Amino acid sequence: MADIVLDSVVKRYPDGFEAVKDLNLSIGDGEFMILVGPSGCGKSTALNMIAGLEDISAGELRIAGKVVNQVAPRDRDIAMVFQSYALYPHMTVRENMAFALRLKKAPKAEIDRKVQEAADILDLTEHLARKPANLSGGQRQRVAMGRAIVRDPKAFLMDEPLSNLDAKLRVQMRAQVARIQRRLNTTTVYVTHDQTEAMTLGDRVAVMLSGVLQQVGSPMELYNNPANLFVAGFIGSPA
Amino acid sequence: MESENTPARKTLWGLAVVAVLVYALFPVIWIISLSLKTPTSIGDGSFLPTHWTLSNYSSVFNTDFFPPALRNSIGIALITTILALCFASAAAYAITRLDFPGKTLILAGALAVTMFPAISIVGGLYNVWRNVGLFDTWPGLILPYLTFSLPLCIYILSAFFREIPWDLEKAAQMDGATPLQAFRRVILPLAMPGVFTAGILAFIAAWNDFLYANVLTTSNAARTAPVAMAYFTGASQFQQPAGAIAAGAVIVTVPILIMVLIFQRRIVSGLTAGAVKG
Repeated sequence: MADIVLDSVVKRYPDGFEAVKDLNLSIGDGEFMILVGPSGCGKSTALNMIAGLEDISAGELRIAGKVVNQVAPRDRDIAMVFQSYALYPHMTVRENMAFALRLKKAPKAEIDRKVQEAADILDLTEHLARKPANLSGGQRQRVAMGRAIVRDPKAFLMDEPLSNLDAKLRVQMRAQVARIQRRLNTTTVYVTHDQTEAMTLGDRVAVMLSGVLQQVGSPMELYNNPANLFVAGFIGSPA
Repeated sequence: MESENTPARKTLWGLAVVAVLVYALFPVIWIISLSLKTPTSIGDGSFLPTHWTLSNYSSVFNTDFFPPALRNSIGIALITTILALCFASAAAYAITRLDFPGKTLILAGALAVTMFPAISIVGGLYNVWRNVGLFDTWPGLILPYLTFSLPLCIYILSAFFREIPWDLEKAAQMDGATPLQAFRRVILPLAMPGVFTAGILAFIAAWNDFLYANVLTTSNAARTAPVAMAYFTGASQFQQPAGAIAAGAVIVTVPILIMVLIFQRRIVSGLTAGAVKG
């Protein structure tokens, strides 16, 4: 577990476009931070920079007090849940979840125990031997979560993890995500474009627009004291 | 449409299939039939042998040049295939996943290499190979085969790599995999159908080659089976070696059949199903 600090972070593409402009954000240890905004606002880019999947053009990213700008994703010890789930289709659910631990050369008994634990939390125990192709959307989503949980990482990064689920399942999973995060108490950055998710899930919400951070605060702060018209409009009318 | 399954349509399809099968298989069956005929009855023109014999096969294997040639063929074709797959998968992966200057140039260059007719370079190759000591050796054949099968393999494999969602590789990176581990344990298993497709083609190309093998070899050290077949002689100088050649042709077909049957079972589509939503 660790805190994540973005210090004047900039993402500039080779063509000169700035996807993220001077982003200052500090996410406390164990905090559930939501990054929200319309599509193209730079929230996913910000998440990818924390993950290490995109280079940081300027500024500093610190995880647990250490500057990690130049650290490869595999050495940052953070787990990510992708919007597409990105499950390994040639592996069973068990192998999917165990993959990271096996790469770390963890003892087999420990791998089995952790996978079993995660499967219990996520209600996946009877699906461990199945392949992702034979799972429903909700089950796949839970496997993606499980793959993050087993690693016991410093932080979770979630990139619109629920956007591919149907409405009913999304509400269920939303509750489950919140429950899991509170239970594990792991620092989490959660990207969404869904105002309802933003207002109900996180400890704090960061609203972005065109690469610029508009306001950070608890959901109620944002709702009661929006910093500008955009935040008021975006938060005030949950779709 | 309802008319799609009328009996008339079915019959027409059936006839078409039979026609194609006869067209494709008749020469093969004819060769097999020839290989089973005795030397005296080989010119009798009947479709089925009147006197069945396996003597053609035993005489082929009793020559001092055909068994080594078969060994050379298998060894050279297998090594070519394995090397082509190793190099091509690395190259194709780099071409699909990385942005580097000259990327299109490399692909265009690879394609350009295949456009040279073999006959136009084989003469020069003969002289060079003799000077550098590659003449009549395995590497002397593997090298030219590689130059022609690599571009094809790179093309096939890059098409398959492009189909694999990039998110999978990112996920592997986040899970702590080095680029090599991500490639070997996540990307490559999913590209296996492409690897096998490319492998079959590379193997067949190397196996079937006559021109290079004929020009660049001179002894049992590296002569391959297709070339060795040209060296068959009849029992006497007045006899045509048609039966032996037919037997050799059948024998040479068998390894290809085996390769295709092994690989074809693995060429199944839909391996990436369930990886990503949508």
